[in-house]
Amino acid sequence: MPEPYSPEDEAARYVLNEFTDEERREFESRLAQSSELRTLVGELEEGAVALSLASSGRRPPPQVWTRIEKTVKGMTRREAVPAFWTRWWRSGWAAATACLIGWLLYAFWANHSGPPDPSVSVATGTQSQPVIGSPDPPWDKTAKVPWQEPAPNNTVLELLQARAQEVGALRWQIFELTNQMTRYSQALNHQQALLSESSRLKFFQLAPPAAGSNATSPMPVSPELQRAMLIAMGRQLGWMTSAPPVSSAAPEPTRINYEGVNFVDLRPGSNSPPASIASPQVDPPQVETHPVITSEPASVASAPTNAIPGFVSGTNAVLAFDTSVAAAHSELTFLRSAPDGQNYSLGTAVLGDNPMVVTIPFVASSQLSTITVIGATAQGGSNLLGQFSTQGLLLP
Amino acid sequence: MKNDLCVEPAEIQAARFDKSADLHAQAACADARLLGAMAEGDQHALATLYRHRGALIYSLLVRILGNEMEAQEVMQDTFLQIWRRAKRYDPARSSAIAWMIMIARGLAMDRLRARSRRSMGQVAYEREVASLEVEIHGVHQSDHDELATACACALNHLPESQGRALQLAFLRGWTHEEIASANGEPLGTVKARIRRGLLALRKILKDYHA
Repeated sequence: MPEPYSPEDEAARYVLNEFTDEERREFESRLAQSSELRTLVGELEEGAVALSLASSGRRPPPQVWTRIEKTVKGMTRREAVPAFWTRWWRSGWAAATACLIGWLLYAFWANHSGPPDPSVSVATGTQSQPVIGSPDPPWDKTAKVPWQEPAPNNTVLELLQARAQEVGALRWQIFELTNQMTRYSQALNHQQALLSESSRLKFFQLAPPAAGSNATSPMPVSPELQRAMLIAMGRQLGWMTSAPPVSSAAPEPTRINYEGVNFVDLRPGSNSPPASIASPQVDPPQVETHPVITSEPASVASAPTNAIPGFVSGTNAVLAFDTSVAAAHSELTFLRSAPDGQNYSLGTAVLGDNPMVVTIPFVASSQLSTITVIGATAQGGSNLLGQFSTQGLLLP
Repeated sequence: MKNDLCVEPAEIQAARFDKSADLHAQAACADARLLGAMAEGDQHALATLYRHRGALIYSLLVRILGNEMEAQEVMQDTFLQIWRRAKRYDPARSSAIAWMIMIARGLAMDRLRARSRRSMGQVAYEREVASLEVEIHGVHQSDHDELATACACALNHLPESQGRALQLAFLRGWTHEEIASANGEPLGTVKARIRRGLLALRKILKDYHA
């Protein structure tokens, strides 16, 4: 005959752990709903505590705690690792690390295509790639990592260390090459800026053939030409106020008379010089612009007496003429000799009584060329007034 | 043989117990806080709890298993279980020390069951009771605090049949039915003895805290 249900007995069996799993679950469900049952269980548990206290008096040896501490630390590390990787993956470092690993694998693969020649610097990359710059650059004394046949007992760690050194050398070379490329780019931009800078002037003289092509001493320049050059410089540098040209009927070149100096602009389509001041036109020169192609420069009749002063400003060349370098009322023809041997006419201008300053396109193309100035007199004779190459003037 | 402290004058015992009761009340609160910190992963809290309660639990395990080596192994398992299950501790259900003692006892019972097939009957009963007598009187009294001494005194002052049944159930894992069968006594009687024995010992704690 089964005994009647007694909460006290059930509580004691629960505290003494005599329940099966099913009985325990059932009792705990009742325990959650009954405060009286919880109180009863609590009282019995306190009795069990008292019974345990009656047994106390021994102390565990120290090694017990040592084992517990070691085990708990191991458990904590194992639990912390997944949490760390989860945070790491979510924070985006995964992508960065994947890129780094991919790059390292590529570097490893590129350097592992075969045993490299010990004489070949690792910093130059693979053997099939050309050496850029010095094969043993001074900025990286460790760049040369010769291949060493691994000993039979070499560990993977040693191999990884060697690869890490190679990767480091490659990174240094890439860094230095990038710096060099940056410096070259900056220098190129600087030179291009210098060439296009209108305020930067470079002076030269067209020496007459009689003086020889190697004449280095300055030739005499007439006072009128000196004055004309100063005015031309002022105009070019913007020191003088602007004024509309006296006459600028396209497609004829611009003709301006300023302070007794005639300014002629032979640049194609140039109807507005950088700076000009209108003044009473005293003696406008007669200008003809008939670009012609000739096979050879005009024949030379006689040599001029003085040098033709000029300067380069940006992409223009400015030349000054007066009767000291060419006969009065002579027709000046400006030719550009291309490297293919053809001569292209840049235009013509007639020298009047006043000094004349002619602006010609200096760099019409990227190719180097020779500028030739020929003076033709009314009597039919022609003189080679001067000739210069753009090469020496292009590169500051 | 009774413990000498059990015959101490009541006035002296009361003064000693008042001081001890305060300490144990504070320790109970500290245990709950330490379990809360362990639930957050604080290993220092585990170390503190071990310092406070390690001796008590270890003594209980030695008493149950009767073997220090096994007790040390189960001690390690006990504190690892406490560490793992600290998040599940509910202060509203039981005190921290009771919760830890139940974990330790459960593991010790598993070890006892795994040790060998236990023999039942009157002979086994007498043998177990004899071992319990030796254990009760063989503890190191010099390490006892007042409350532990009082508990030991209370246990020794229980009626003999009640004390034996209680210890066989709690320390040896005998079920009510096994005890009743070994003694030839009604099951209800054994249940009542055990329950009353636990409540009598609990009264010692209650009196201290009061």
